[in-house]
Amino acid sequence: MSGAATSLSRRAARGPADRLARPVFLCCAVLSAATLVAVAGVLGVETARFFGTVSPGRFLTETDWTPFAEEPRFGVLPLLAATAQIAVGAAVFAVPAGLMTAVYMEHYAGVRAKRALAGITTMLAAVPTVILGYVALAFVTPVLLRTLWPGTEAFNALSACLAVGLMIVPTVIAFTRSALQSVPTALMEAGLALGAGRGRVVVRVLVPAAFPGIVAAAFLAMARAAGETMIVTLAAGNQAQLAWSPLEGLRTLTAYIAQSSMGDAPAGTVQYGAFFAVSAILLAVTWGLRATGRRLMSRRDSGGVR
Amino acid sequence: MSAPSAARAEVPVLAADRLTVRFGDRTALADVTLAVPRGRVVSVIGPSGGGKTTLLRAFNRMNELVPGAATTGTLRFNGVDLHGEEVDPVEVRRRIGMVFQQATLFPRSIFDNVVFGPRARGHAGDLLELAEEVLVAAGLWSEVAEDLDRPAMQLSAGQRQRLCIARTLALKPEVLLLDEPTSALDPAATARIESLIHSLRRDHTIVLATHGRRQAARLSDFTAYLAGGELIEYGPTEALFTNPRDRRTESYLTGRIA
Amino acid sequence: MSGPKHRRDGVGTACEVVAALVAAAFLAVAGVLAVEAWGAADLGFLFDPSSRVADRAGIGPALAGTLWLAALTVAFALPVGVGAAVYLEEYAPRGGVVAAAGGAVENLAGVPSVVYGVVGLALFVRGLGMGPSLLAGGCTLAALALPTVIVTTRSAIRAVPCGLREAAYSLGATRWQVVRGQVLPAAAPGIVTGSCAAVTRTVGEAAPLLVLGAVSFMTFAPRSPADPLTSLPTQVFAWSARSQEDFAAAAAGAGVALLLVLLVVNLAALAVRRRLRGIPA
Repeated sequence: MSGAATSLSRRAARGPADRLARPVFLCCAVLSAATLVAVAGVLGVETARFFGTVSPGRFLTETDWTPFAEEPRFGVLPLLAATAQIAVGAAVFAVPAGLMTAVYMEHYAGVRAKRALAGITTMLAAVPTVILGYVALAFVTPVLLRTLWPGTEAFNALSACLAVGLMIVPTVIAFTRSALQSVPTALMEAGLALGAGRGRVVVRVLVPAAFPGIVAAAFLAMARAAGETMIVTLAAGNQAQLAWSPLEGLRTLTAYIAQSSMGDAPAGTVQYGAFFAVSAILLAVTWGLRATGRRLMSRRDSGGVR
Repeated sequence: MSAPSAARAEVPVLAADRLTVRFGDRTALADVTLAVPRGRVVSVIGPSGGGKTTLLRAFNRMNELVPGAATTGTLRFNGVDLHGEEVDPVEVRRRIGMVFQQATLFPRSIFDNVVFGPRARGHAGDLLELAEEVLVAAGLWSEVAEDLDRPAMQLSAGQRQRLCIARTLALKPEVLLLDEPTSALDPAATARIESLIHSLRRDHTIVLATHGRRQAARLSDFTAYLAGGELIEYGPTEALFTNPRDRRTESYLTGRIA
Repeated sequence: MSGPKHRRDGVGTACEVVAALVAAAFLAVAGVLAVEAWGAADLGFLFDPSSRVADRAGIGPALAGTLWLAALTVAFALPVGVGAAVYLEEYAPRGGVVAAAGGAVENLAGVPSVVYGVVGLALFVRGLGMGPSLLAGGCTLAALALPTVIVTTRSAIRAVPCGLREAAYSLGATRWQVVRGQVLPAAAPGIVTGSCAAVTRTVGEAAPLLVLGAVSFMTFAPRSPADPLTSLPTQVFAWSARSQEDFAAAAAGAGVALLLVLLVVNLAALAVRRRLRGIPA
């Protein structure tokens, strides 16, 4: 042992796996980072090229979206408004439903009911959205809505809102439950100790204390709703119009991207560029909603509740 | 590089010179200079957070695994700079073995735990023979000889710590760094570990961090007192305990023993 | 958590009713699908190619396409994602460029799936000349799954007890030996769970594939990744859009088949996790 006592360098004796591991893992990390660069790069370059032809001002303010007309118009407003209508409409159903389900799970349900609801929301979150779109088109509109309002169009915003709302309910429930869980139990117990009924404490103490978290949940859910494609494509249809009745059809940013077969537009044309500009707007909308939600959530975590 | 053994005896096994270790903004060890003579037991005493663990971990380059750690000053092992260009930290850890305060076993069999180190370095010889040898040395062989294939997690706390010592011995290290090996054990298990340390001193240089002052007095030839990251006093154990030169050492020793 | 939970009051009853409605809505989706699919249920439906006649339409090519896409997604996203997570957690110097870029990848988890289709079209279908093939679809779906795989793997790796790593390092293990021998085995159940969630989500995606140019009418089952892009979700979409022309049953049938594929993926992941836990602890 004494002879080798001074030699502490045995790097050469390490196996090939040891020497290869670091560069291989590095390649994986670089490749992953490359997807980010690719998304940002492709969208950025093509969008910039599009705005070389169409001015951003007109893009954002005009109200006609007819890219393939003889005199093409690129006013994204109808698409943007439709996306907002769907996101808000879905939230109108999903946020109260999700909040009440979360309250029930946290403060009323027995073990079995809680477990059953947890299982159902997990499964619901895993259902591909195209299936929800199918149900909206083949069941919600013809069976449910037509019974109530016979004049309902085959493609309409309401059935899309219902289906998208169902899709985002698990998101609302998950975030709302964690918001409710972060309310100190002492607060709840103090209310109960003062003789208030459980329901009163829930409405007066619990929900107000968890409110920032609930709003955050609503924003995160709306971000998902704005990015949802298949339900709105199937159920809300493809009319790029500023629709005022929920029983009429409309066309969102996502539906435009998915439905207008991009193969029709040769690379380099304005029409081709329009897809990237629409994608960029969509990305900005979803990121804005997500960032707002995250912000609210971190404010809650960093001591909004004392 | 192979110095004659006569000259080697002069060279301390481990030597720290103006060693400073920082974790981010926090200085865990400041300007520590000390030498560990060959074949002796050196104990490091002092309050929790005084730098005992950091000093031990500096000797086998474990600190650099912590994000934000920065080490300055020099560390020598048999005269060789431990932070030298050519030095492989993996090889350092194979030569300077360490046992932690918390006995963390791998979720495998007793045997797999014992031969972990030799396997990692591609040991060519008979692993079973080696396992028996080090388990005997760690005083655990009679208790586990029949069930080497049992999950190691089933052992008692005292057995776990002895298994940790055995698996470190399997590296055939020159130096053993023992970081409060008995702090989580009951008196009976502590006594067994202490007699084990006593028997290991024949073949190893041992650095023992402990906050049991009596343990330090019982087991070590030299004692270092570390507080607030500074080396307050270092000298022969008997002299330090009976006649401390520094007031701070004295108050630490008397304050708590009394 | 606090007090008896079964006491009823107005608020509790209202919440219970709404919770029941949410559960009922889910069951209604399943019910509608099952009832509609009943008309399409026969063995031929599983294997037949698609047809212009609703009664003769089958999902053979679409099913094969989805299996191909699932395999390609796992083959690309799993090694790259796990590798990237291992690099970021175990190798990358803190504050380095790669660490920052790797962290930013997590932001991709919020990008709408249809946007991946647009990027995939520019990059894979046109840029790399893959055409609207299964390979282009697999690459796009892999990119979609990647952020989820990375995020879940990183959190699984972070949950590995620090003492395990330190013990291995102190016994002279090299970084690779620590990763291979301690970190990955301990993180494996978490990695499987996260990857399964990522695959479940991406395999059910129709939007990006639609943008890439998926076909809904194919007379033969794809035999290689170079064959045309087809899948169950896009098939459900195509038939749903024609549900007024008797294709409703076929669409529902394809939807049920899609759900069964996802179920099998999840059961497989469950089995793998069981085996991982079964290894002597």
